[in-house]
Amino acid sequence: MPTAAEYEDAAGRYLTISENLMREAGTVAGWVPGFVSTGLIRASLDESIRRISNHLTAAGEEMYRLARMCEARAMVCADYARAVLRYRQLTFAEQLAQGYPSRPVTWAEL
Amino acid sequence: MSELWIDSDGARRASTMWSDRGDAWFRTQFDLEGDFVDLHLGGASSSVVHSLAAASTELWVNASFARLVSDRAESSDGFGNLDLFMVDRLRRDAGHHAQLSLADACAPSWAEYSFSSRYGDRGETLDADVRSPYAIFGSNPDERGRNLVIRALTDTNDEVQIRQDEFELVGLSNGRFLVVLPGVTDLSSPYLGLNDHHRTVRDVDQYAYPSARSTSVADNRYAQLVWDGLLSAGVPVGSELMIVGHSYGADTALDLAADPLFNGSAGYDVTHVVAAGYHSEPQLPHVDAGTEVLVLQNHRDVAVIAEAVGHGHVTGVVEETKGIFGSLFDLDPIGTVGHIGGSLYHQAGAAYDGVSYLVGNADSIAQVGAGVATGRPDWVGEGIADMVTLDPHVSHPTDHQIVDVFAGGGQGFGHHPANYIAHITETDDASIGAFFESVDSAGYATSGTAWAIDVSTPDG
Repeated sequence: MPTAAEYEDAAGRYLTISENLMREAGTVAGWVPGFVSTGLIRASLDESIRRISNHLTAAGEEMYRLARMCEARAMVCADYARAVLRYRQLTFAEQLAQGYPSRPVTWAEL
Repeated sequence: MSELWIDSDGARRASTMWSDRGDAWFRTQFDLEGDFVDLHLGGASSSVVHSLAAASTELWVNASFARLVSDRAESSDGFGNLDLFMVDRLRRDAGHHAQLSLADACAPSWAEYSFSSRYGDRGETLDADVRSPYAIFGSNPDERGRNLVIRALTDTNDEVQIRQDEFELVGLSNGRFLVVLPGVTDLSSPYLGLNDHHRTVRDVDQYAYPSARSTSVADNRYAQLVWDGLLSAGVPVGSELMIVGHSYGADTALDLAADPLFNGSAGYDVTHVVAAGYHSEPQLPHVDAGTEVLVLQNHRDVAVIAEAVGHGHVTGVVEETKGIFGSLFDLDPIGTVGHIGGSLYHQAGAAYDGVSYLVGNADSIAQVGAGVATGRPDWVGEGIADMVTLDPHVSHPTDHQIVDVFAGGGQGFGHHPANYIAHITETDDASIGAFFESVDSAGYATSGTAWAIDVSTPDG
């Protein structure tokens, strides 16, 4: 199971990838297939380039969303780790009374 | 109709840049797909994986088209006078068949193209996905031929380019085709039965082993699926083919080349085969005389040696040698000595081949004995390694066949494609150089559109 640190690391990486993909999308949108004159072929390539740029934009936006999701998951994992730490600091009687903190979600790890 | 002009140098530059950029996006997608599984983001991640694969695929198709245009422009006079209809045909050729053509890329259905998970997938048998295109360079025919084979063997070990349940088909800009056949997927981590996830035909115990017992396509399910894959992809009967295979892929390459229906007037014209990392000698007499064959065998490739043992009559010797290994690893000196004794017995008791083996390995046997007696496991290891290697040499079973047993590297017990690629880079044997030149002169060392064809064994 992933830990808070792994989700934090992923969030950072995904933000970088998102920024790179958005930048790439902008670069691609500016491509001009100048090796072929205007006409049917050129129009087809222009349209294809526009579509590729859109795919990259969609990927970049999705990576940004995943980065935010990883940040949120990191906080959930950290909260869970803190709850377990507090539990371990309790006396035996208090532990018995309170019970071991339940895992908040299936993907959370200490 | 408006006048059309095409700058072939510009097209080539664009093709190279687009191809590289598509490779980078696809590798990002491949890495992310694994990352998402590790982080339990699978469900949420499908759209980004799909978007990156779509961007890569479409850019690769454009790169193939640009390269095709540039190649055609250089190979024919007056390309600038070609009309739009002709260039539209080129676009279709670049896509090879309708599903993958640029023309279809313009249609709404483009978004529904298929792409395979990095882990392969169950089903989708014979589906074709676009992958990074070929662009072969070199300053002379020999170098271009080598570079083509190096690219093909590199792809056999690259799951980004060829998944565990796929082989590669390259439609070259001159109408010829290259078929790239990777080996088994579970040699280093044997898994009895088919893999539940992708049911690949490239399976050791289910398909590779039964195939090894014969030289027939009838006993080789991989060969059957490759044949079906070529037909499904629309490779016209009568096309000239070159096949490059590694391991079980090498076995399959020669099984296909040896089949008169596949490699004959009613099938395809297999002009060249490169078979790397397989004991191919029993297949060679069955291959059509017109097919140029280069067999590459690393002298320390355990898979080749094991296959050779299966076909030979010195099994006792090698079984005992394997026993020496086992005892050694178990730190069992008595067992080691016993196996050495058994090995010597078998060698002395075997007929001609066994005696030759004994004489040829006398120094190694002595080194092993001395190592055991003096407690020097390094001597034992070195001696054993020498005992179970092949004799490096180049032979020519026919005028059209070369068997190159070379002293190569030890990566992956000598079986890894990297050992073969390193050898191709450095070998200076004249006949092998001539083989690579013939690959170029036959028209294979050029650019082309690559597809990965799914060879998952159908359910049921």
